[in-house]
Amino acid sequence: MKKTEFDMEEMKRLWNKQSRALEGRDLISDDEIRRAMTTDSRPVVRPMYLWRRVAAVAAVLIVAAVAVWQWPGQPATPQLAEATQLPQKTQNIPNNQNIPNTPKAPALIAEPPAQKNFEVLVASQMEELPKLVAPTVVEEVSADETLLAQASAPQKTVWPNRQAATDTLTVYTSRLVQYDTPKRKSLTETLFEPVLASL
Amino acid sequence: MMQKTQSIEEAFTAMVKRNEALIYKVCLAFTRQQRDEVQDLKQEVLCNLWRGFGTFKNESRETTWIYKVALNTALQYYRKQQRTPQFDELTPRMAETYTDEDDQQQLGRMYELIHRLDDEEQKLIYLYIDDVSGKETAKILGTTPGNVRLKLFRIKEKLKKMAQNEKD
Repeated sequence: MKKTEFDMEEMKRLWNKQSRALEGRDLISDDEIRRAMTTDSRPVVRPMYLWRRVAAVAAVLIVAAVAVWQWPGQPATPQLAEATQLPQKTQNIPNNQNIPNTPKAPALIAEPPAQKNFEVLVASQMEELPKLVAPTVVEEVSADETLLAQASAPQKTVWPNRQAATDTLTVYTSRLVQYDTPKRKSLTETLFEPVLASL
Repeated sequence: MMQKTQSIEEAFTAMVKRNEALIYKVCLAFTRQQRDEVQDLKQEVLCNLWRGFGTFKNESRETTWIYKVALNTALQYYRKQQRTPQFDELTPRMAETYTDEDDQQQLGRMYELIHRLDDEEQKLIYLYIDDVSGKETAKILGTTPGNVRLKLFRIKEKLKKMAQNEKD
């Protein structure tokens, strides 16, 4: 700046000088006005930016297509479909319709449930577990036997139910991490501890 | 129906023609004075004026409404342009609008300082430089003439300090 301070009057003088230089010129053509009206208020896209807009739209479409293709309902490959398939069959165990006789998680809880549904599910399962497991276990297994000792005695007929119950409890216990500490404690006390005690 | 549409378009065209210098000068002040940018901003201002033309009810002066729309559009455009790289060699400056290159440079440096102010301050100082009365400035900015005077005084002081710091 020529002067050491901002001279507003000087700026006004320069601005007026420029304004006078603009007088008598066709500053806005009829064509420009018509374009504004006919494009329904949408500014004209300059050619130099057109390719960027086309590229952006193409990128969005590609991402959307990939997202839809890889949606869980439509796995991308047969291998993935097989890997994500949920167990469909459970063995028929007398007196135990709810607990599958495999170490895997039951199909019913393979998908992460909503918090409320999960609590209802756990509550109903927990009510059943002691009835199914405890009476037989009490008769067949003494209190001081370890899990290893039980495994070495497969002739005891209570093992399948006990194993299934333990597996189910393990799955439910792992799900407890989704709750905050007070809720986790409360669930453990009300639902899990009585069952664990009976086992 | 056709007759009515035609008359609205004619009225809009006439209004723009009456105020073309006003619109053009706002575009010059809020761009880096490059041909492409001035053309772009001019088109955006025209589009926004057309969009709002149906709701303009002659309750305020025509120029007041045009200043409002043009300044808001220009400020938005300026902020957007500041985030994009500048290609001086590809976009010629509007040199023909100046009679003197020194004047052009000095005006450019003054505008650099003005663009460091906040949006409302930029609008106010622009209206002052463009010789808009205090009363109309107050209407455009939605404030009182007294407040305009007070703010103007503070902005001038602020600009002086900024210019001084620049020099130091």
